[in-house]
Amino acid sequence: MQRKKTAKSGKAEKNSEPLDGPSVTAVKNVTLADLPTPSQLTVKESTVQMMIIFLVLVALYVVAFCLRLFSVLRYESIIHEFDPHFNFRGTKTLVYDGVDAFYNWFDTLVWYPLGRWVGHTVYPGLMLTSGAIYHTLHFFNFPIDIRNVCVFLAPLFAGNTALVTYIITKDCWDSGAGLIAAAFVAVVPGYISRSVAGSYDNEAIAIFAIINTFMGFVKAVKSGSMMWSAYSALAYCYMVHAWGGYIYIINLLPVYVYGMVLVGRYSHRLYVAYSCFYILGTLFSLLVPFVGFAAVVSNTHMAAPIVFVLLQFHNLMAFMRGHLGDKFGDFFRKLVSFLVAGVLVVFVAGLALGVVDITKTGRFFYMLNPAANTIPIIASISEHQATPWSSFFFDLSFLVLLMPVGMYFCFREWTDGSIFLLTYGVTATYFGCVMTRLILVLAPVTCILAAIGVSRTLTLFMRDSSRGSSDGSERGLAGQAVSKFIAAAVTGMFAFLFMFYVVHCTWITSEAYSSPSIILQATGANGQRVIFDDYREGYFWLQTNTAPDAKIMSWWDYGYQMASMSNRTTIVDNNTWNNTHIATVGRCLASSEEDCYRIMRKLDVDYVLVVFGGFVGYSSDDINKFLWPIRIGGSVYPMIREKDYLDDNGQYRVDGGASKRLLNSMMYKMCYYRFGETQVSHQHPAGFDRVRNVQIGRPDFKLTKIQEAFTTEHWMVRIYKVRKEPNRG
Amino acid sequence: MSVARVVVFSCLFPAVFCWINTNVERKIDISNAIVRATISATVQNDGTTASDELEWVIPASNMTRFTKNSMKVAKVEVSLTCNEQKGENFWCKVKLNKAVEPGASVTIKHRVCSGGVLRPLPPTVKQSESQLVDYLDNVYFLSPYPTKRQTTTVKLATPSVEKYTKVPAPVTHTNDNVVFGEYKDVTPMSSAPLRVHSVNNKPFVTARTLKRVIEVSMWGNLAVEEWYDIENIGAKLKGTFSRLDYQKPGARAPSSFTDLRASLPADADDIYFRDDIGNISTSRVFPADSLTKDVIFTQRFPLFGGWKTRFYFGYNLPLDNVLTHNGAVNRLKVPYASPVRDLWIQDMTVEVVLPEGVPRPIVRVGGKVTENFEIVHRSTYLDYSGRTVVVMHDQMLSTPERNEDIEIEFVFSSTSLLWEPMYLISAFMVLFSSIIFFGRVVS
Repeated sequence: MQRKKTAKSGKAEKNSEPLDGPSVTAVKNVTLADLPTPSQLTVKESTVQMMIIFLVLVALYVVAFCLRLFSVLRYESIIHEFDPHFNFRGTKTLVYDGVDAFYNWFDTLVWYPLGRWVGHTVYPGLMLTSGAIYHTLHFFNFPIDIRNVCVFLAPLFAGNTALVTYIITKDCWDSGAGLIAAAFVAVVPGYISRSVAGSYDNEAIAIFAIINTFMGFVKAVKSGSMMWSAYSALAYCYMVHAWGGYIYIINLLPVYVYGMVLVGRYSHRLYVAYSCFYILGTLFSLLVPFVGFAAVVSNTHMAAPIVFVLLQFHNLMAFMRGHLGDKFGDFFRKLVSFLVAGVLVVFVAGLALGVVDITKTGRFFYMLNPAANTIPIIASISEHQATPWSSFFFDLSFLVLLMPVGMYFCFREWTDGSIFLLTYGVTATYFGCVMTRLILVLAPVTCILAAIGVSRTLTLFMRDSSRGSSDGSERGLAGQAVSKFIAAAVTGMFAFLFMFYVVHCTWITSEAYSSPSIILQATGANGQRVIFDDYREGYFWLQTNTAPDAKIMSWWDYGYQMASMSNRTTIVDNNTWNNTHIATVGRCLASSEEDCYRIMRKLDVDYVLVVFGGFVGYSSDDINKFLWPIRIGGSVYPMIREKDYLDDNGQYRVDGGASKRLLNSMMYKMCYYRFGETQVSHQHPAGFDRVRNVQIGRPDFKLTKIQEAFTTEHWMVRIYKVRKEPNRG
Repeated sequence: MSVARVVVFSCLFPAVFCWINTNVERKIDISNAIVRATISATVQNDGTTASDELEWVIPASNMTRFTKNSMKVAKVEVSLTCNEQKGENFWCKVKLNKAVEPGASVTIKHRVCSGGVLRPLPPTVKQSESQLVDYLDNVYFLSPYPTKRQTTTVKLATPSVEKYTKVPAPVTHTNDNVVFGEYKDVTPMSSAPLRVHSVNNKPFVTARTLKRVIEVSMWGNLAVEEWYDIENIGAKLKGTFSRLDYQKPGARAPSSFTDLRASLPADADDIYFRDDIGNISTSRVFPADSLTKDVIFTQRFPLFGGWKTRFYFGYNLPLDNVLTHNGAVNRLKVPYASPVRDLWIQDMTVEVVLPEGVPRPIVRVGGKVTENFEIVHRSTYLDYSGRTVVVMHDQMLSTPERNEDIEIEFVFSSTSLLWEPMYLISAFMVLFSSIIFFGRVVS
């Protein structure tokens, strides 16, 4: 970029004006940048440049924050989707009952009759963050509502992410690329998808925590400073509190360190950085009840200690080689074979003793090898599906194309920082391909690498004529004469791409990622806005018009929302910790009314809730999800067989050709009770399902064991009351 | 109770003089969930000396249900003291503003409103059925004095009446009125059951609790927020609620309601309508006249008998229209009860948040100074010692009768307004100075 200067000229300037105020900062920069990395080219930043960077970052912060407010402006300040409702409920417990009560919280409102020890089965980082913000503001008498803290937390952290992205890119490359990376990351849709206002989920703060950890670690490797390493460990501690994705960090950093050793870039800086990080980070992660000793015994964490030991070993080797010289080779070979054997023995012994258990971490291994997955409960979650090709462009725009360019430059200019970015980029790409939700982890590194590509390319073509032509030629690519026309064309193309990128990101944020999903919106015949607020109508009806101890059964998707918005006991929820319990509910929904009634009475269910979209054409309803309850139910109870619910050709249908079993199932009956009498529109016959676009197969039936208690305005939420047995005698 | 005994009894006390009700007209409006009755009684001093005191009998069971109980003579309020309970009745004392000479007469207007009087009968109805309510009273005006002439008119919600008392004659039912009387020369303390069982599909809405928070910002804004706990106390829903039947063209669910109508001042702004789980997107605002605007709050779901809901709404008002000041003495004038129409409020808390540092104010409700409030302090934005909050509790109210003004007179000098900007300015000054200090001196 234009403000880049050679190290020489920067130093010369510094010497020429030693008493000047602004150059005081520059001296600091130079000492940091003395290391052999590309950032040594960014030497003196005058006060004006500092101001520009500062202002750009402030502007990016504001942009990152504001772009995520579509949902608030278009709908309202509301918690979105499913998991955020649980997080919100947890936050309220934390804020109103205190930290101790939160850690000891045994939630009796969920998983009836089992309950859930929330304090020890949750990553508390998100709640603790909101709680801290809430209490700080209230300490200064700002009576902010806890809901607003939660809603605006994700946009706030998106701003923070942009800042740390700037710093890490600056450390790995230069501050020009840093600014571009920060600009990219501020609006990248892959990250926005999880951080719009109201999307109060772990990922909202976790991406900041990941980049922050990496930033600290890169600084530690660059400087060999224990301080930065400790900072990185602290950031890692925050990450462990925040999200299960911390496993990625604790595996990526060892891979990076190991790779550095392999390519011969071992240094004492690396040794200090990693040793300090591993010890502190592991100690910190033991603090999280949900992680606990998994941090030292779980096989998913094993890469870190192994590399830690290898690093000590390597350091010892280096030390001994320094003293022994040539005699060292023989001893070295023996030691290596001894150590490798030792590690293997420990691992096998661990497997045998059950200390190392590779079966428990289903999601992690699903991630490593998606093809091997057979657990329906994990497969049923849409965000666990493999990523389709289109979503890479959708979520990352043209950064997908520029990322390889950045990687190319990283390969050309081999530094500790660029190797780190390569490691991060390659692994994140793999995980991004495996699971849709992990595009989130890929997005920041794509931005960083793409920014490097953009920055490096533009440096070549957008030379600042006032600084003289040969400036910066030592970056390797320059030096060749570039015609003004080509320079203008390339610059223009990039300008176009940038504009396109901003338009694309804004459009996607507005169209795809800003819907709270519990309020639906459609455009009416006259162009007016039609709001479908059925979920809240149903949930609030439950809250105000059922007994406080009523137990409500539904498919697990709605468990978190019901606990939060209805304040009623649910049988299963999105935590999905007990597969059998979920399978029991699946079995109940798939059985006939009599069979289901027996199960419901055993579970002491008072109300059943189903979500039905056939009336207005809402496609993510329970009838469309029904195969999953059947599959999950069938995975535990062999009497539920998927093929019984399909027609002879293996098609899933609800019209006249549907299987008897399906038409007699509890789910069918609850969704379509008295639907046969409705006339959804004039063109269609009575009982026409607008989602499946068929007339339902069994329009006329009676319910004997349950009775309709409430149906919302657009029939989307239907609640049935379970009749109690009549008194004897 | 024999007539003679009562008359003698009431004349025994030296302070009590004998009166005669020459003409009593009772108008009882049961067309709403709240029963509103006006008794206008012309009483004549039948004694020998001028008197300004007479007795007024109110059944004890009615007493607890009054949401308003006021008495006026020629539009001037007179005092009615009810401390003495004898048997089933309260014997109240009416203190007239001026003594009535023997032989002269005066017309007393007694206006009472009561909540929870109309009893749904049958207590449960199906979704499509109308709701019937039962009203019980005394055919005669209960009085310790003889009554020469009296009529009672009961106003119904609809002309459709299931059953009404037909004795003592004459009782006539015309359109939506049932008229009892005219009865002549009724002896003191006469009583005979009056019962009207009629269709009433008006929303039987009650606010179990209502909390109003009125916050004064001396920068020119008055923010009002009201939290309601609503229940339909009409006939309970029998059987199930069917959305299909509710939505069918021409379908009827007469005993349910979805809308609550409120009248806000015309300059009310930023109106919002929410509940615990967020915004309720169904409300409409339209101007009613030059002084008020009407808001229809459509609830999330229809409320059948026995169903409950909760919500809150709020709005802002420019302070100029509700606050007058004379030097440092400010006088705030806001309505006491809820702007929602025909609402029976069982328990109400009103909190008026005054600026920081205001000493105990003078509070008047309906023109009368009251000491029935407490002061708490609450800290909000940039407060140091906390704002002065006037907290008032009240029970059994109905609107719009109880929407009388509360006046709060408090002392607050306008220079105190400058404290909070000063806090901010000094905080930023400290921040910037320290940056300058660390930037220039330390590093």
